[in-house]
Amino acid sequence: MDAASVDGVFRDLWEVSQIELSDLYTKLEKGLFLKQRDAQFVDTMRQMFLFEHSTTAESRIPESLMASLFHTLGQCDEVNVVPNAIERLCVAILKEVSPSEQTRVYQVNSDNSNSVMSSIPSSLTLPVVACQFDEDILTKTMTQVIHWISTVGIDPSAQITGLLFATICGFYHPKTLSMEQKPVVMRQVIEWLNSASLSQAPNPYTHKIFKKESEQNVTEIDGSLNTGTFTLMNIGQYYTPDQMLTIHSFSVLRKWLLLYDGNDSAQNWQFLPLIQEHCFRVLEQCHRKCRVAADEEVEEAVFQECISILDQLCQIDVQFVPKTFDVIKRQAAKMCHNSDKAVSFLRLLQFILNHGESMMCDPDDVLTTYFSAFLGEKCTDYNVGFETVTFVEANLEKLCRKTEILQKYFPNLFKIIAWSPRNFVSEFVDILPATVTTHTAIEIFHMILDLPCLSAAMETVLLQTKPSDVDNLSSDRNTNTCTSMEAFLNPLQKPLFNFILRHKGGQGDTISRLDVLHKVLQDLVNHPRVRQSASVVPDLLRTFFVTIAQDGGRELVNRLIPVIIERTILLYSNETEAIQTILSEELLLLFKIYPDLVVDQKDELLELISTPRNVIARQNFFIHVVWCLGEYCSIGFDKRCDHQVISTFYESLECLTYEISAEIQNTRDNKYTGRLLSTLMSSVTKVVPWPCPMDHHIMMAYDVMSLIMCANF
Amino acid sequence: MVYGFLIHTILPGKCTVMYSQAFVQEQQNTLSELEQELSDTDAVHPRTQRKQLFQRIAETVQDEYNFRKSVSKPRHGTSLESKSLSNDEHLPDFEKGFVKMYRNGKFNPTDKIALWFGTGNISFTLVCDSTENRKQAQNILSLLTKYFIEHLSILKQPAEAVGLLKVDKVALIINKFLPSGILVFMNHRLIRQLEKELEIEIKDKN
Repeated sequence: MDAASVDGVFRDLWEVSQIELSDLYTKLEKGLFLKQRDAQFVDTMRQMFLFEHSTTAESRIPESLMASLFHTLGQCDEVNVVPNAIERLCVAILKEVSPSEQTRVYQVNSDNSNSVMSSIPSSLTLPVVACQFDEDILTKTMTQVIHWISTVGIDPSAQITGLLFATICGFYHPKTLSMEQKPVVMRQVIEWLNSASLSQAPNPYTHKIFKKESEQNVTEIDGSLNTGTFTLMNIGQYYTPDQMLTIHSFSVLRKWLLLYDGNDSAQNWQFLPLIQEHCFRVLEQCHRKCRVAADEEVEEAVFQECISILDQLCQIDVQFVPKTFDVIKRQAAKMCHNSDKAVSFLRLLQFILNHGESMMCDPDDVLTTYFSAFLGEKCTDYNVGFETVTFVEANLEKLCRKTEILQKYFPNLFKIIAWSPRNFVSEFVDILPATVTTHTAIEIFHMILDLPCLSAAMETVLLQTKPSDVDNLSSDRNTNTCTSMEAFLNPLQKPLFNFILRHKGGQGDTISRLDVLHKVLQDLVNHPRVRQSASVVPDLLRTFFVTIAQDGGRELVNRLIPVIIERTILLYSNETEAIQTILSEELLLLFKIYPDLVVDQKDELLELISTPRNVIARQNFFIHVVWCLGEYCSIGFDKRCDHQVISTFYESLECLTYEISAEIQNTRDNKYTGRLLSTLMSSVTKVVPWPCPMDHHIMMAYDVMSLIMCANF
Repeated sequence: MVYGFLIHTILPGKCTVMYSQAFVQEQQNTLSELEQELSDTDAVHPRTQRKQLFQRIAETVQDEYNFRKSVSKPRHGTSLESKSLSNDEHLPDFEKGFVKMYRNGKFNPTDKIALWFGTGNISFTLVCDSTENRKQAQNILSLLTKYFIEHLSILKQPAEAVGLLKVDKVALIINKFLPSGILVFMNHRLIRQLEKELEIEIKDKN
């Protein structure tokens, strides 16, 4: 099923003519009136849904058909009758065209015969109400639903339907809930949480009508006898209605805790300790080994949910913190050696970060376990990457101000974006400044530029750990495919990989053999992941330099400039020109902020401009450096810029200008641009030491201009 | 909370949302006055906004899926693999992931996270609130996917059949395992109990 075929099918739907549409509506109205149930009518209704779904314009369903749709729903108000296909399609169509003025009108008229508000909550009508826009309708429905939830004697499955509606509506429309209603629902939820029976329900499909099955209790998830109150982690062959209420109550519990706000009266929420008890019970159950492997997934999810519920509880009332904190710490100690549970561990981390301060607990140990060990092992796991970035972003200020985790383990963080570049760019633009300090800045600068290199190294490691995949390498790869892998396995070059794949920062800004590493990874430079990695480097670089410009300080910039100069010709990327352009522009900005750095960087700059071969590989960058020299080499910017300093620069610039001019004349080579020559000339003029014979200058300028004019630049 | 659910195409080319539903209508106007002032579009109908949101999510998933395909090796399993709940060997390999959709002034009033399972040219995508339990979202989406494949032959049918997508069956499956967009924590027995109900309810003449 290719994209073109699917698109073709939907194009046909969109091009339905007005007449065809009118026919369709008429057919449907008639069929609904006649209560048709045949396959053809079902197909017609499906067609209508798909048509409505394919349009973005407001629905043009005729009034009479709209009435028929609502009327059909209103007929079905018995609790345990399963809706048929037609009824389900009515719901689907009405939801699809909602919200609209038409659907709103039918919700409002709940006192007339078109009412869809029957005496008990229906799994058909409530979903349509939830898709409306009018908060008056939602509030009115909510009141009725809460009444059903809190009334004894209403069918449990109807109460579940009502509870789910109240949860989703309350979550997205909190104003539909009054302050009195929230604790009413919560009290009911907690009652359902803790009051289910322990007997398994009988098999509803059994044919043994005369044989009474003996009652059995539910078991724990590992098959052992049940040890406490019923929870969703207990196993029964079939579940009784009250047990279903428990399961659903737990499932919505956290959403209701999120609705608690500081204005709620504490007196009304005195049932909260029961939640803590229930969660402790469930947590204990989550450490049992599942008898059925399929339950491991839900066990992990329930574990995470429990931690989040307890976290929410402690945020509502700090009295819960001490006892809960002990439990959390014990959980963390149990899990600190198992990186397969990294995401669950992260939920524990969140709790510790939220409440550790009040317990005088330093989160450093657990943070180190996660960011060093776990992240190091799981950096190629997309799930762990996503959860880590989400966690760091949500807790950025705390992690930055109260811990040193970001400054220590940023190499592991970089691995996440190296593995999945485009997915995390905007988050990293936020996170990056928090990792940059005077100690880490240079190292991070190197890391940003080497991000594609990191992606390539990670690919190599992955390939190496799955040797069977080597045979399956796609045919369009370079024939030197194994170079990177051979290098990884070579003991002489392995240390290069060890460096780029390090977990922790602060062990050296970069390595002296970086060029070797670039070379051995050259076979992967066109790998899709490496290319995508290279494409995000500009955004990260810009963010880095904004941070440096704002908060770096003169001393750091002074250290950074020689590194910038060095790296302009030491890049692992197919986009070297783009990177050099950014470095040029940023260098200019840095000199603008700190013009006196020209004197501090004298030796570096002189070395750069003394050699013509430094020019070719980075001409644009060179032009910017020369311009900066001309602009800022002046006693007006720095009192140290005396006659000797200026003369030294002047001589070097003049010499270079002559060398390049001569080379152009002799070789007629166009590798030097007119822009370079004219920038050189203007800078030479600016740094001329006084006194200086002007005719000498005029002659030089004339020669250079002739070159520019003649040489077709 | 699960805000909505989509089924959409993911191979390069036009990204078509074949099916979608939202479980709730979001409150609009959660933006500050300044944000609204700066928003350069006129007020758009909420239904159109929902469509735009779903389209944008589908296209973002499409990008990420194609990236994963370009970098994955043959027989390379993804690390988000969840164990098949019924050890069904016929379930295809899925690429899986999360994409974030930040709130904006045009069509998205709140931050959302979309979980997607993609294979061939189809992705099943759950659009969740950013506070949702993502592990359970994966568990439920696994289940939904299994039943879609079993009861709708959605991966095998030719393009023409897409035009007659059995939306009532899609709705039935979703209503059973993701009622009102709530992720219910289901152990294997509860799943089996609901599965039996589904088998009976889905067997109508169609």
